[in-house]
Amino acid sequence: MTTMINQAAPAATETRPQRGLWAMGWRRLKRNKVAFCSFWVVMAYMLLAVAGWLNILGDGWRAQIAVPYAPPSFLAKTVADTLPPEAPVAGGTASAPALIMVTPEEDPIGKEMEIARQNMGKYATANDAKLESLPFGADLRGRDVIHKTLKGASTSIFVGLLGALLSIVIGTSLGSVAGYFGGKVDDFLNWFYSVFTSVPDMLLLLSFAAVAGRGIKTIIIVMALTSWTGTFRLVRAEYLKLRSREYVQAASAIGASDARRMFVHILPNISHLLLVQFSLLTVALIKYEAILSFLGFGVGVTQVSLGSMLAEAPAELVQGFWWQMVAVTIAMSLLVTTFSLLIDGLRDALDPKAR
Amino acid sequence: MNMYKAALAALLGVSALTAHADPDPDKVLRASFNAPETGYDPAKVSDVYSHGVGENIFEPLLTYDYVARPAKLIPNVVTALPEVSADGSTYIFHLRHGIYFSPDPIFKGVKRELTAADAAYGLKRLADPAVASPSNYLVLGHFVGVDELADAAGKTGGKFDYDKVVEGIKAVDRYTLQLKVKTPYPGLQYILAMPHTSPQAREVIEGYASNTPAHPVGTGPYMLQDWKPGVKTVLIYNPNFRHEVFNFQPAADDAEGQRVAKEMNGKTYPQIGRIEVTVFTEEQPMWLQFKSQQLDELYGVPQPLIRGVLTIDPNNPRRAKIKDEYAKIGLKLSRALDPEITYFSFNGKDPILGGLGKPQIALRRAIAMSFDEQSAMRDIRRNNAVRVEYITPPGVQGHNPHFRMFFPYNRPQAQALLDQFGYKIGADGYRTTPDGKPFTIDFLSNEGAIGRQWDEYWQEAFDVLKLRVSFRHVAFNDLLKAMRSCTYGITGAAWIADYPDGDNFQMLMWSKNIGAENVSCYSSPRYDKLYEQSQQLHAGPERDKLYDAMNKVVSEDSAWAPGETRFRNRMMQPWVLGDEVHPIFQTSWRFTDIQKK
Repeated sequence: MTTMINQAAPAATETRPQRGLWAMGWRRLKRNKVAFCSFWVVMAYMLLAVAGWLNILGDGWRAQIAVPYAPPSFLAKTVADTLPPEAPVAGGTASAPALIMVTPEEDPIGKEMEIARQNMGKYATANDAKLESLPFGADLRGRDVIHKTLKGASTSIFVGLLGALLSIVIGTSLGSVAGYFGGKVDDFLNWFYSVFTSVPDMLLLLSFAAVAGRGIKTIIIVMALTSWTGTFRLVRAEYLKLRSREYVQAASAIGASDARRMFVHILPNISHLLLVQFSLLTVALIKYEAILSFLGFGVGVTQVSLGSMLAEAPAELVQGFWWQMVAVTIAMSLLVTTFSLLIDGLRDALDPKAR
Repeated sequence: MNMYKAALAALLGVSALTAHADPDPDKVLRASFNAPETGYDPAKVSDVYSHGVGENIFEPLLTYDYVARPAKLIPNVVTALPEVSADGSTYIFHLRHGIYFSPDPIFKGVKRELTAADAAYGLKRLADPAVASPSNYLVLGHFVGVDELADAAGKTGGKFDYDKVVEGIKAVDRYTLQLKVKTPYPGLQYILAMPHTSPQAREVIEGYASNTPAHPVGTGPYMLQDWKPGVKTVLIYNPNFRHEVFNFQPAADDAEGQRVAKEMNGKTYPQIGRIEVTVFTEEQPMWLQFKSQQLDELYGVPQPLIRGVLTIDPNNPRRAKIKDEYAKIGLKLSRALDPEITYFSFNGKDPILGGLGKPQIALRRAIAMSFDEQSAMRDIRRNNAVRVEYITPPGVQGHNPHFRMFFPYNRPQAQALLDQFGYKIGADGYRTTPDGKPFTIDFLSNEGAIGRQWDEYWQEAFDVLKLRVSFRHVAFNDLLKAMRSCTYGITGAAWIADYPDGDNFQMLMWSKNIGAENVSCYSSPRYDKLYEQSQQLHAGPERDKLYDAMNKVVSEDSAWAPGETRFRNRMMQPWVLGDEVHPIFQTSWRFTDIQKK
């Protein structure tokens, strides 16, 4: 029997050039101009993200190179409002009594302080002059907004991608088990799923975040734990449908194990759905990360993300320092819009029933 | 010429007549608060906004001179500052005659005069367990016989017996009040100037027992007309208020005080007929309303707006002016340092940071010396502050402006100092303890964007020193809890004066206050000894010397890292007269006037 199948297969390819779903999808995507452009923009972002993780790009975002809130270079300089020079104090400074402070003799560690003073030369650092303006301005601490945005976008994408990946893994494994086995297992997992979906998303996210503390790792885990439900429902439905198809029954007949049928036979057939789901989740999680960071549950002090930059914006805007917010807005809306357009294109391209 | 003189005389006559009439009900002052008040029962509230309104309704026995700087106590409803017995235990107050409570239905149309019994009742109420006053510490433990009353009332079924005569708080006759303290209480006179201790009419409190915060009845210049909690409060003048004429005597070199005296002297107290206070919890609408002249007074310039509204001399934050665009339309500014300190506190009980051993002192000092407080002050406080250099801040009795409490900012020296004490850099790039163990500093910080801003400045200091730090972000009440239970490493703390005496600040480091105000959990026998000596003394050069010595002890032990004292910036429309920030009063409405257009 096996030989016959092996012989029959090449015959089929001779008559009609066999194209896989992916190759067909790629061709369809190329025909959709908007989606195809979006694809390249998203790819550029991905490249930027990778460069950010490898610290090739935006690594120096923490360097304070300019004066606080240095304006963008393209802005015309405004004349600062200044006070008249201080009137000399009557009697001059000479008559002021000497300052009182702890003397080295009184100081319990006075000797060591003195030695430290002699040794401090090796730690001396050059004190560079701060720039008055930067190409796209600086933040409160004189850090370059462009560098910060690049690094922030990189963090946000990283968090979005990894969170979405983890979420897909959780959703797919639970969904496939529920859909494939059905019965009591399905009931239990459905109940578990209902509990999660009964709580409003944002509330669940915030309560997880409040318990787990800060940092990129926690954000990723928290977001994955709250966003797997959509994937679960989708995968479960697909497995319910596909488990009784002929090719699965055939696999069963030749003695393939449950795991093999689930992951080798059925899973590849829903992979296009997972890709779309993954992209959707990535966009959603990039937005969720921004909200979390904005609310102060996000990244730590040594990290920057688009959300943590947005959190600084309200205080800056009332003072008229708009550049950081504009930079984040551009970076974020371009990313989210192109990603969403790409997803639309992908869904059309990968749907076998489409045109 | 004669006619002119006559006209002038007539004019003067008219103005003399109006000067004794009631305040003009058409003079409306529209004021603002930037946080909601909680109510107007002085025994039950503890927030500055409630007491800010209460200041205008209630009159404590003593008060402060409006223009004297530093703040100076003066008699209010009493004839003079109290007579104190030789041993300092008994205080006698004589109430002024002819001071009346504002009209209220409870009084059934009879003018109700203030008596010593009202003063005693107002004080005793703070100790009543049924009132559950957050300010009961002002009274409990101090007055002879009062604690026993409170204890009896605290038992099941017990009731505070206001009628029982106790020596500690006693109305000797209709106008004489006697206070007797168990141990010397140097702060007592200041306590009696706090609105919390104002006299109360007992029939009013008992008549409105179910809702005293909504029915304040006092002897002050104003009474409550309308109150929408957290939104709006309307005060109108008290028709029973005694006739008094403003006669401010500011120091010759006090330009702002001179302006107030010029604008107000000779007018009757008060001038404004109606005060409308609106609460703004968001900064932007408050500013926009003020800018469009819908508010007469801005309680304080919000921190994010300071750079846009004021020009502050970067080298001397005491010099500031309103930006030209606002000065042109005549907006006025009154600016004063708050009687407060903010500081970063090391936990004295922390196994790594705490204690009086030399390596621990060196670690704390290195951290304090590495914190770029000047940049943080410039960027976060917008230069609207001065560096703390003494435990007792400027404007408070006992402050020494010539003291420098903190070692100068010097990161290289701080690193060399850590080397000196054997905090070696380990394989992972972070320093270890002198005996080679790795450690992480637990930094307790406020949640929210402002907390994160401070964290960034601190992170930089720890990066330079190569110390591992972990920031813990908690809500304000959890922060307080951790500080009181000494379960943190480093944290930011602040203290604002209850009364303008150094004792209110120096007690922050007294070891007996650990678990309460001593959030640094600092325990130094040297400091305690000096502090206990200072408690026996009244303000003066002798006590100042002890304060200097105490500041040196804290400086030597490096128990704190530097912080700031902030300025309060009040702004007024051009037609508001006599308005000046007072270091202790929250509001100045009762001392102001409106120039009618």
